[in-house]
Formats: sequence, C-alpha cells, structure tokens
Amino acid sequence: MDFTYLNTLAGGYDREQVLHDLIHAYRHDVWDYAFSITRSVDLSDDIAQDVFLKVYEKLHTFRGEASIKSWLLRITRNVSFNRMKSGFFRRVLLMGEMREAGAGAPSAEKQAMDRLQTSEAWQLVLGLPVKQREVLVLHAHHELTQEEIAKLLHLPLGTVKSRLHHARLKLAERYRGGMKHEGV
Amino acid sequence: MREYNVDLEQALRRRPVPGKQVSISVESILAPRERTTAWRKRIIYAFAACAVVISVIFLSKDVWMSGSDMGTVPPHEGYHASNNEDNRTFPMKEKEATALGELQPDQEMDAQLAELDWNGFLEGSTKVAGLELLHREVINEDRQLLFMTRQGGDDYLYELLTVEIKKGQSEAYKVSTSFSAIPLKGPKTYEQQADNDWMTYNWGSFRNEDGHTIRFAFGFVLNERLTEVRFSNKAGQQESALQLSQSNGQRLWFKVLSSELSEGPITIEALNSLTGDLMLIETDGRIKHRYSKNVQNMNSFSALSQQEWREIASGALSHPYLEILNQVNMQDGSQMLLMVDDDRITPVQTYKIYVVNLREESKHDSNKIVIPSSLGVSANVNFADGSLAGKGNEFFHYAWGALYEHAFVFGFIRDAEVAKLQLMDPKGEPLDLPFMTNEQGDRFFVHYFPTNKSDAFDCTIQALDESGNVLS
Repeated sequence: MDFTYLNTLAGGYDREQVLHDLIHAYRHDVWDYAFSITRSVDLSDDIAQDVFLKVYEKLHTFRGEASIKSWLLRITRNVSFNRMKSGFFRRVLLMGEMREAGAGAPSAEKQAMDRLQTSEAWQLVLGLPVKQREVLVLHAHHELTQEEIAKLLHLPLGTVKSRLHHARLKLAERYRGGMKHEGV
Repeated sequence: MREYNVDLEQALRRRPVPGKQVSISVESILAPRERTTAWRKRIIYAFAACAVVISVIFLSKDVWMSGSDMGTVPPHEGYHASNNEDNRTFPMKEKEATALGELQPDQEMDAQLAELDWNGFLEGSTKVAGLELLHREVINEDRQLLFMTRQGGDDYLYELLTVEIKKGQSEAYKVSTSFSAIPLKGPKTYEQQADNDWMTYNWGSFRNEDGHTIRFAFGFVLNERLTEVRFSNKAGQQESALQLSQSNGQRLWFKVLSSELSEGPITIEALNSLTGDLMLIETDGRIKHRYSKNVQNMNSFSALSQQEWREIASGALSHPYLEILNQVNMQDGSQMLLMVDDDRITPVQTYKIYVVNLREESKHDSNKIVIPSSLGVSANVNFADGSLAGKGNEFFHYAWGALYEHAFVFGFIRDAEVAKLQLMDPKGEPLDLPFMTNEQGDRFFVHYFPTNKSDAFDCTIQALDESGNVLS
C-alpha cells in the first residue's frame, strides 16, 4: 500500500480511513518489532494497540522525513521501552524470570519460545542483548537500510554497523543450520 | 575476512511467531474514553457524583451564577468563519472547533530533545542544526519554558516547539515536557496556504508546582498586516503576545498567560495597529468560535503589509495608489511621512491625506516590527462651502494633528493662484511652507513643530499670490 500521500496531508483528511489502512498494512511489523524488544506475546499485543492509538492521535505530526514504516517502528520502540520501564513490567515480568532462573529450570522466556514454535534463528536472535538484537531485527526482518536504522535509533551510522556486525558474528557461531558467507 | 550466516538472516525474514494474528481494536482507538478500566470508571463516577452533589449545594444556596451560553453565537459583524486550518462550513466548524489548536504533551519524549545538553544550548555553546530558540520564559529559578522552531522535511517548513526544562540535582537542565505543533504543511507560502488568514493558533497548558494551571499559546503570523495578538477575559484584563522572528524573517508570536487568563474563557484577537481587529477567537477553555476579517474589505492604506511598511520606511515603496510626498527622520528614531491616496477616479475628486508615524517596536532583538500610527483626512479637490470634507477654504485645505510627541499641520493647495503658504506663529512671525507635488500635479504641504511646542495649534495659515497679496 502506498502511503506517500501522508506526506502532503492537510487538515480535514479522513483519519479513520488512514488508521484502517495503516493497521492493515503494518500491524504485523509493529507487533513483531515489539515482540523482538519485549519477548512477550501479551505485552506485544498491548503495545501494538497502544502504537496505533498513538498513530491515530499523532498522525498530523508525521513529517515525511522518514518512511511511514520507520515512523511506526520508532513509535513502537518508544512505547515498548516505556512499557518495559514501567513498574508493572519490572515487578511482574522480570521477577518471574528471576525466580525461574534461580530454580535452575528452563527460563520462562525459553519455555514460551518453545511453545510459540519460534524458529531456531529467532530464538538465537531473541537471546542477544537488546542493542544488538534490535539492529539485527530491523535490518534482517524489517529490511531497513543501515542509514534508516541509524536515523530511527538516533545512533551514528558507525555504531549501527558495529552492532550489526557483532550480532551477526555471534549468531553465525551459534546457528546450526544454513551456509556461512564471507564478508560483511 | 569475517563470516556471517545468510540462511539465518533469511530465516529472520519470517515472522518470529509464525501464524500469530495481530488484532487491533479500532473501536477502542476511536473512542479512547471507553478504554478506561472498570476501576477507573468507578473513580470517574465517584468524582462525577461529588460534582453533582456540590452543584446541587451551590444551586440550593443560590450562589451559582449561570453565565453559560450553549447556543450558537452568530458571527460577529464584519467577520467570517476563519478558513485557516479548514474550510468547513460553520455548523461543521462549530462541532469540531473545540479540537482545533489544542496540544497535548508529547508522551514519547523526542530523543533529540531528551538528549540535548540544555545548559550548553542556552549558553550558546551547543548548537543543534535546524533548532532555533526564539524565547525563554523563566518560570522560577529551576524551571524555564522555551519556545523554539525546528526545521522540518520537504512537506512542512517548521515545527513549533514549546519545551519545559527543569534543573536536576546536578544543576543541569533536563527536558520535562514538550509540546509540538505543525500547523501548516506543504510547499506554499504561509499566506497562500492560509488563504489570507491572519495567524495560526495553538495552545497547551501544564500544571505549575503550586497547583495552578499555566496556559501558553503560540503560532505563526500568517499575514504581515498583523501587528498585535491580544488576550483578554471578561474581567477586562488584557495581555499581549510577544512578537518574535525567526532568523529567516518568518514572524511568530508566543505568550505564557498569567494565572488570571490561564483559567476560564478568554478572547484572542489578532490586531492591526491601524484597523483594529483582524481575527477573533473565543474560547471557553477550548476554542469555541473563530472569525476572520476579509482582507479584501480593507482599504489600501490600512491593508498595507509589514513588508510594505518596511519598504516605506526605507523609501522603496512602489504602490499603485499611495504616494509618499515627504519623509523625515525624527529625533526619537521614528519617521514621519506625508502620504496621499487618491480615489482612483480620473480626474481625482477626493484625496485622502495621511501623516504617518513609523516606529520599530524593539523590546526584543528578534522582535522588530514596524508599527504605523496615522492621522488622516479626506478632502475634496474642489472646495464646496459647507461640505463636511472641506476644512479650509477655496485656496487650500489643511488639518492639525499630533502623533506621539510630534505636532503638525498638513494639507493641499486647491487654487493654482496660490504661490506661497505662510505659517504665522502667535507672535505674528511668518514661516514659508514648502510644497510637494504629487503625480497629478497637485501641491501638498506638511510642517512638523519642534517637540513639546505647546503653542503649535495657536498658529494661523495664510495663502499668498505671486505678488505677495494675501488670498485668504
């Protein structure tokens, strides 16, 4: 779906129609990115709902500097990190993880991943530190360029390249399937 | 040489949770109030019940003043519903007007603002490309409100930002609240886009530490004829907005309202120093009505833009109807001009003659706008005894006036036989007044008296022919 018309929106446009179009086109991208950050299905459901609420409220502020997809992913990132900073997330989710880990049992996260039939590749990615994880997900899953990632994350391009490189190296060591490829 | 796994990255193109269906409830987005939880609803109901009880108590004691007018107020005379921001018909506008202009704090703090070294930015040692600070409003020693513009992308020119910054324990300022508005988009100039409307209006509010609400408002000046933005309440309290300019010359206005004007209904007026109201916004906390005067209804003199006044001040005006016949720099830094506007009928039947004082308002360096003040008369070219327009006689027309500290007499010559005009002071000392000729060949005059000369209006004027005979 072409959303270039959003760049020239003036007052009086049909916000509801735009919202419907955006949900239809990007709900999976938003949810997947939220999931890659939070690693929680329930939280990602809530975040996706919140993201589109914010999009609806903030549609007039879309400046067209980045693509609509980048804009949505940026909102998703902000909402996700805000949720993770919230008391509820820290108190309920992280405490749950710590108890599981302390008991020597498989982590709640690992169990959840197994239940969700997440691929080996995704399981490995979700095990990376969030800084490397989100760069790799944005690049490999959401197919953003390194420049777009740098803009979205407000990072220097060199930092993005570096994080991407380290994430790839880590995963290449751990991934059992597939072919290795030379070069970066 | 380094290695990475292509297949892994291809596997990542698939979704992390295959088959996961993401459902978004559009209804709850479009009706945000329904998203409240049952617990919140209970709290809201409890507050509502309290409010009802309090209202009943007030009403029963007959102390409640019912000043609310929920009916449709007809547009004020001379105004039309503003077509800035939308072109909807009045009933539609009435329905949606409350939403116009109101800003909510940005919940997701902009990373550029969140990470900025504000102390450095305020000192000028930290520069941010495209971010321009226009005004600092000091709330107290730990808090400031900053009004800024941020350069935008191709589809809009500038974003207006109001940011509240607070000092942390380290004495470093951190941004605590930000409000953002992009009132106008697109490549057109502001005036074109606003269809000759006068200004944009955005407002927001935040809670002060003492519990009071502080309301602020800001916007673009869309039409250079606007010289003042004024706020008032029903108690008659008035405050004017700061007039600011970006480095590129674009004018803006900004105002942090006093506590008296931060609560309750207020009226916002866009004003021209010569004609008065250009635009009127009525609020009852939120925007209720918005009307604009049509620029086509203004005469050529009062509809001069700021740009045109600046050109006049620099002596570079080229105007189809107005002629500048005399321009003098005064000691107080202002200029006095004699300007003539004809009635655009050939031959000319009537002249409008103006003496104009031009001064730059310069309370702030970035706030220099030209404020014109004028005194004008209409005069028939041919003298008709008993005519209201005729002040003077068949030989010349004249008027006395004063603007600020400057007293003057001005007029034009009716009869070609007049060779000299003499100003006689109270002691009978004559002073010859020089003539200035307009494009039609008619002769005009103006004389400025020395500052604070109290007997200026006791002077008399007489016309003489070539032989020195007094004609009047």
